[in-house]
Amino acid sequence: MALDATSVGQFMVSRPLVAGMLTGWWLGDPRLGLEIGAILELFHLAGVPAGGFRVPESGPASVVAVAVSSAAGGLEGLGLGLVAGLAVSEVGGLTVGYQRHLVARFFGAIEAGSVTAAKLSAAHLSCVLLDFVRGVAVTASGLVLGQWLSSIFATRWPLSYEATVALVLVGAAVHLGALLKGFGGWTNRRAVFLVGLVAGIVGASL
Amino acid sequence: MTHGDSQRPAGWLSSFLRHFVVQGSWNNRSMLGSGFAFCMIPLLRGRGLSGEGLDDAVRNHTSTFNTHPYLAGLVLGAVARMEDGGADPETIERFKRAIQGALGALGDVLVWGAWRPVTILLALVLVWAGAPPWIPVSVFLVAYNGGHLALRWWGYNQGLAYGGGVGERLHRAGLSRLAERAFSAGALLLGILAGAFVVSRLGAVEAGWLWSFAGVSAFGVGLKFGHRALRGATLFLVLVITFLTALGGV
Repeated sequence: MALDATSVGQFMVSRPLVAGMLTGWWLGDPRLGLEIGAILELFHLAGVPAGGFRVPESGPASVVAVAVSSAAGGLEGLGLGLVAGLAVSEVGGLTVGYQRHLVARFFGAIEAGSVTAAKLSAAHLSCVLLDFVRGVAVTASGLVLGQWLSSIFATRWPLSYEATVALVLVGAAVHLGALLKGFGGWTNRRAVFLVGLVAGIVGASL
Repeated sequence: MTHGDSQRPAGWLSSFLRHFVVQGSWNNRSMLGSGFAFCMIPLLRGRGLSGEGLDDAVRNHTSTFNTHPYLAGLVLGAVARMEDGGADPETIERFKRAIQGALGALGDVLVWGAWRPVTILLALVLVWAGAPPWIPVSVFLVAYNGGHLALRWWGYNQGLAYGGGVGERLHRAGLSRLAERAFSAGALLLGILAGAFVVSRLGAVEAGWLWSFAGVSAFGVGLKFGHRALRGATLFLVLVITFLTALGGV
């Protein structure tokens, strides 16, 4: 999952929607994984990794979010799973930043000597391996910590499932607003957005 | 150069496949530079270089370079074509510096800003419509990667065909217009999703209209402040959930 985000291919199997469904399927409940992945996706949808900026890492975070939610009682554990997922995505993003500094120093040391094709290939592939190890470490740490926290806090959540989803969607709405701004903003896209809004209301009401 | 040459140099397939890991050693110093050199090695070998000759040629490609990963293949192909045509290292370096920014901006807008969110929104609409789990995921992966792989293939081949003249070709391809259309499709899908949120089982009907009002207000905050609001909003939500969890234990 972590490799797909930057190092290998970027086929988007690390997106929360995909990673969440796959984790749910692995845990025996693909619908739970899909729904948590879809909600987590709303928080990552507007993020653009332009110019190498650090962005939250969604792949390992989705695995952790679904596993923690599942351990905390399925969709009732949504709040806890979401917090675990969002926290892991921030930590994951931080570790990516540290890795890039480390790789820069590594290549600096190589280029201070004499770069050869063999050395460069070995160094490049080592960095892919490093990213893999980093991703495994972030996911494993998140899973262990998340399971431990869910065993303590799972019974403390005071809101109903509907209110929990509504609370999360309010948070996600900020991201969706930012996405519309990214699509050109209210002035340029309001007509097509409003057509979609009416279609969505009518479709969901049927 | 107005007409492309479709002849492919030796080592092109290996180079094309390697460019799927071009970001493997992305770093704050040379950015994509080391990955670009890694992808050039099969093309340099294909020109008959080996030993110290190969090492010298590789060193010419390790300089700082950054662009969108899906369009890095375009630069690879163009550089391969230029080297076959006898271009000197300084000319190639100038070409890379001149094209990297424009390609990076184009890729960010077209792929990260338009194509990816549009295909995800399509999948999210399917999730909200209650489709079986494998359908939204499959639709997203097939649609997204259809465009992704087509762009990588097109870019690499355009680079090989047009060499240093690929910039003009890129301008004529009208990819920016494609992004504009994707933005409109994205706004439509976003509207559908927002509408479904408002009236669905998980929206205002059962949770209460106060939540809908809060959601519309939050949407307005995102629309006004854009990316500047994202981290703050996420942090606020995490704090609210943590606070409620702590409160639940009292």
